[in-house]
Amino acid sequence: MTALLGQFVREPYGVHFDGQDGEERILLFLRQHIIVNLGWILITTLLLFAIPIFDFLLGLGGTSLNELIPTKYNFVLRFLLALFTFGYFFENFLSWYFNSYIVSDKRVVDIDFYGITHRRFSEAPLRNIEDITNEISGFGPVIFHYGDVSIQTAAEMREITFENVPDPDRVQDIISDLISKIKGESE
Amino acid sequence: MAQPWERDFLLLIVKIFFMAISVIYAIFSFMVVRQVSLMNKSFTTSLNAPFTFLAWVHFFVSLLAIVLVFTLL
Repeated sequence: MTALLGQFVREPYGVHFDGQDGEERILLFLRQHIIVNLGWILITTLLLFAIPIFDFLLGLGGTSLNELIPTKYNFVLRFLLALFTFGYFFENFLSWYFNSYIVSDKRVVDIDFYGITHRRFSEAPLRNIEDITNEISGFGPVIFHYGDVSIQTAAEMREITFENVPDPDRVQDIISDLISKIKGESE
Repeated sequence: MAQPWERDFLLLIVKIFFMAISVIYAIFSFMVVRQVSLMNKSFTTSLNAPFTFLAWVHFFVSLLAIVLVFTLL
């Protein structure tokens, strides 16, 4: 199955993460639910239509942007706004796309990017996981069925949280089954 | 109605603002290029190459914006 834009992908095809062992298999690949992008998509749409809306409002008052500022300033303003709109869209899309959660047959991995200056890569071996909790809280999460999965570990990194993932109860179930299998094998 | 010197002064302020914004934006777009390369290292999918391409195009267009602002205005 492809992980191009998927948010809940079992055994994804063509995905490899940093530090993945040769024989290690990715069993579950997760991203935040697509609905969490609604805010920045709305802002991008507003930015796209900002100048036409501004032109329209000025038109109601019997003037236009071309009459208010010289043509070359008008051109540069439109150019910069188009560039900023693309940059805003691109940066937000990348943050969503690369903020991912991976469950392999050996460990769980949480890759977080905040803005353009921060990256956090957390992982915990499945055998170190002690407790898993899922939480669906709020109107949006209840309607679209997404939420957080908190994974408590015995390691130094005490907790890994998969935020806003679709079907958190299913995610919890899959990880629990994997842990049972691994701990059953080692006993 | 604004006097011509008031209008010129206002346009000068706008010009300086555009200059500063375009330079800061070019720095931001270069950081996006670096960030995309870091992201691509974190995990690989078939979209890694298009992301790198778009990040570089975004950076070069932001350089073009600097050229436009400094030459046109």
